[in-house]
Amino acid sequence: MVKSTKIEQSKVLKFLIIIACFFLLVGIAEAFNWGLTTSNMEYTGAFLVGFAAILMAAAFLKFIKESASQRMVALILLIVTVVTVTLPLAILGLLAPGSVRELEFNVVTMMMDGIVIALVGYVFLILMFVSISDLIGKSRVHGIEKLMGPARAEKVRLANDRLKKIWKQYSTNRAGVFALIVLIIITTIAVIGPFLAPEEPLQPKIPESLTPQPPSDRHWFGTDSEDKDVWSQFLYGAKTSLIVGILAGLISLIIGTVIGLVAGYFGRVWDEVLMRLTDFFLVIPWFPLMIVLVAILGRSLWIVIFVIGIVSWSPTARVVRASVLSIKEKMYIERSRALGAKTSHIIRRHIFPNVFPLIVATSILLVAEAIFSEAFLAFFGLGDPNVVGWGWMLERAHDQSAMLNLWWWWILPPAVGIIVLIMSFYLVGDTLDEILNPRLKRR
Amino acid sequence: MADTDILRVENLNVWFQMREGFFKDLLAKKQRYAKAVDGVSFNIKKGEIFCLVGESGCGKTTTGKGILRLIEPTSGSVIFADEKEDKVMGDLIKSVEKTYETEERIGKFAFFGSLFASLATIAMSINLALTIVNLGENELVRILLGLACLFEAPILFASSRRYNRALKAIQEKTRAIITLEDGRPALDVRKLDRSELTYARQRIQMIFQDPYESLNPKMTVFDIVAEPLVVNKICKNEKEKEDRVKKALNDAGLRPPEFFMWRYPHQVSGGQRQRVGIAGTLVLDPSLLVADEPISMLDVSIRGDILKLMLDLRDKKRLTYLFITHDLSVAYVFSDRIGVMYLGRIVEMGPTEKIIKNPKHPYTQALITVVPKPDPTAKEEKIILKGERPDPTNIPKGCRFHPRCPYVMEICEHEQPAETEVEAGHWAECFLLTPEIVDKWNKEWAVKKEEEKMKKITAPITPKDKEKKKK
Repeated sequence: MVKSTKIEQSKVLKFLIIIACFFLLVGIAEAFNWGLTTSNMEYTGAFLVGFAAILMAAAFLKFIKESASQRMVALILLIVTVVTVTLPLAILGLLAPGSVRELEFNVVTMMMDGIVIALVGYVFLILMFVSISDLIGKSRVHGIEKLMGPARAEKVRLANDRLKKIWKQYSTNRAGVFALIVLIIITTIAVIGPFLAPEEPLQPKIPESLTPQPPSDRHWFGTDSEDKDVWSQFLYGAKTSLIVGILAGLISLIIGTVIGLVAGYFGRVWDEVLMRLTDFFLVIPWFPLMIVLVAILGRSLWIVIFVIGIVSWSPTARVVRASVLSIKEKMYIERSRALGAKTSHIIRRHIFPNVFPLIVATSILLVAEAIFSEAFLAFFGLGDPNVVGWGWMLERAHDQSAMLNLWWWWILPPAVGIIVLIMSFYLVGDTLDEILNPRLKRR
Repeated sequence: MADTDILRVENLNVWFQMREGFFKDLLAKKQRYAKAVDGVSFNIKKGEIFCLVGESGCGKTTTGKGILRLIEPTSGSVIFADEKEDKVMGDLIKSVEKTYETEERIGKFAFFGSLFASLATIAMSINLALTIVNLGENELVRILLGLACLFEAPILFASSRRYNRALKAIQEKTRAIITLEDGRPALDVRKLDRSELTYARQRIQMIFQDPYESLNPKMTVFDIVAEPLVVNKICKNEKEKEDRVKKALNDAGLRPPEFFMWRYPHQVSGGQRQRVGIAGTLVLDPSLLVADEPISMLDVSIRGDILKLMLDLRDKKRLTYLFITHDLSVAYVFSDRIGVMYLGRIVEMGPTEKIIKNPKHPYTQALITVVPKPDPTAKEEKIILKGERPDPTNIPKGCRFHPRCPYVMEICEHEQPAETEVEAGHWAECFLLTPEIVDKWNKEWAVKKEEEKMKKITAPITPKDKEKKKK
């Protein structure tokens, strides 16, 4: 009886934490999206974030009750979280003059916001969890063990150790660390950019002058030919690039991984057919293919993402297949089969975990490629005209012959943005590849 | 329990098809095979250690894997029988019976499906007839009949195929469960369905040769040992799983289990790795372990420990081993009975003492003389076999050992020796043991040769023969 109540308690705690995380995420989203736009929704974000904080406090305090000092640690952590994240968000939500910036209610932008925020929030939560469990581990309190049982707790701890090891290797590469910092900055811009922007780029506006103005203290990056602020466009554009990059990269990653796994594991006819398909996509020049596809399917952001994903999966499939082929012959697969394992189990527990590091490394490079493709398509006028992006900015600048007139303030920000973003993705991917890919491993 | 058989392998064949190219295979008159295992028969008694010995490439491992169906045997039977009141066996029988029922039901369904399909065919022909004669006034009926025809072909195809398969499965499976002479239910592993193999694999487990290769580097020891439980869906909750894993690790000599459970394979030593492998087989509580050279990759200092552990486990858990090794000295120390394999066939089989002290087959004799002796002053003639091991794709005619045999006779090149019982329970396949047969054959052969010679002399000389003579 005692045991069962314990299990129930831990389940309740888990549930509490999950709900708290959910509220936190929704709260942040609220504070950014609706809190800024409609006046009667302003308080929702702040309220939800506060509620989440209370729930989390309850959860943490409940499962760390070994000693007073641990409780203090948890409390301090909680206060730090509230002060650094929750309070600013709540204040922003309260102070934001909702009537001034009325966004068009675009489903696409909303979803994009949601995805970016969810990603950032997820990373943030993981970091928080890791740091807390680390602290607890050091002080030898078995809080997590109580929460999820010794087996799972040990697994979490092992995963932590591995992450730490990877980070230790990663941090020796200076370029990689620098690129990671740049990436974090750009991601932050993407998240809070729309809030910092002095004006909304797609909002119709009566121009004061029809020639672009150079940077001034009113317009930090100058204006374009419609007298719109380039700085705001730049801030809005970061989000688009990031979202397209991540989503298209994800799509191509999923397709590539599935095809590589199937071709590598099942072999024979599957291998032949799927690899010929891969060869087809590998050989075809994919920029023209992309242009044709977008031209046929239409100029919407989702279609652009889809097309980039569809076109760029072939290298991943090849890499995954090659890796699967070597893993398939390993003895532990045979052992597993001797134990009576089915194919799904073998793929899930043996092949996928061994291929995964490779996939992570390739996926980041895929994201960089997808960002470039998006900018490229937008520059050729095939992007979504209703979504502000860096490629979109370049296209407009090019249309108004900004190059000939030397309106550098209009061209430089998006161009530099794209280059820096792609570079940093490449550098991060390269560094990870070096760590995770066994062939490139030093030592 | 000492005398009952736990495993009977009868005439097991594992042949691999030789592929030389699509068209060559198509045009070849006879499909060529690599006969890795060619007619192996033996039996293992409960609680016994049976050792398969032979040089590398003789098919020992293939036999072991064939028993577990990791490599699909070409023919033969692998009959496994545990104690009467075994739960797993009961489950298996129940499951097989259930599949019979469902298969039968599906068969019936398929039968009615094909009946419907044939009715549809009749309808189609009537429709056709109506159209041709132009009697049908009602368009709707005709359209309906047309639609029925449209669905007819695939249904007919699928249902008849399914029906055939169901019938075949029933026929196959009625032979999968056998009752032995002493009334115990036994199962023929080779005839089991793939989905039912899991039951058999709970009872027959394999210990692999290379503990460095056979453990997934991405899994903790806990996960590796718990894998059979997860795969076969045995544990109800995490607690039970943990308990069983701890018990298995404890049995395998990894104490305390908590100390090893959360490590990765690269964090434990070679001997401990093999112990992890053994623990992974013990969680399921098997009764037969196929140990495929479990100590050959280990450090010499640990080998004894692992062997001792295996012996302890036999006494404690009443395990039976099929021990596969190339090392005759290990077999001598460890096993109760030995089967000596040469080129996919057991050439000599019997109790360990008798085989080692009184080997009858020349191959066994050669193997025994080359085992290093601890006494440096002892001088013994070593029989070094001449020639190379013939490959299994091209097995020599007659006795398969004759190209390398020091006592080769003429009969060996032409006839396959039969199994001969030398002493009680000691069998060998060699003509040296049956001089009377050899004598008889020699006489017949002499007569035959004489006849051939006569034929050659009487036959007219052709130009081809002249050329041959010149050469």
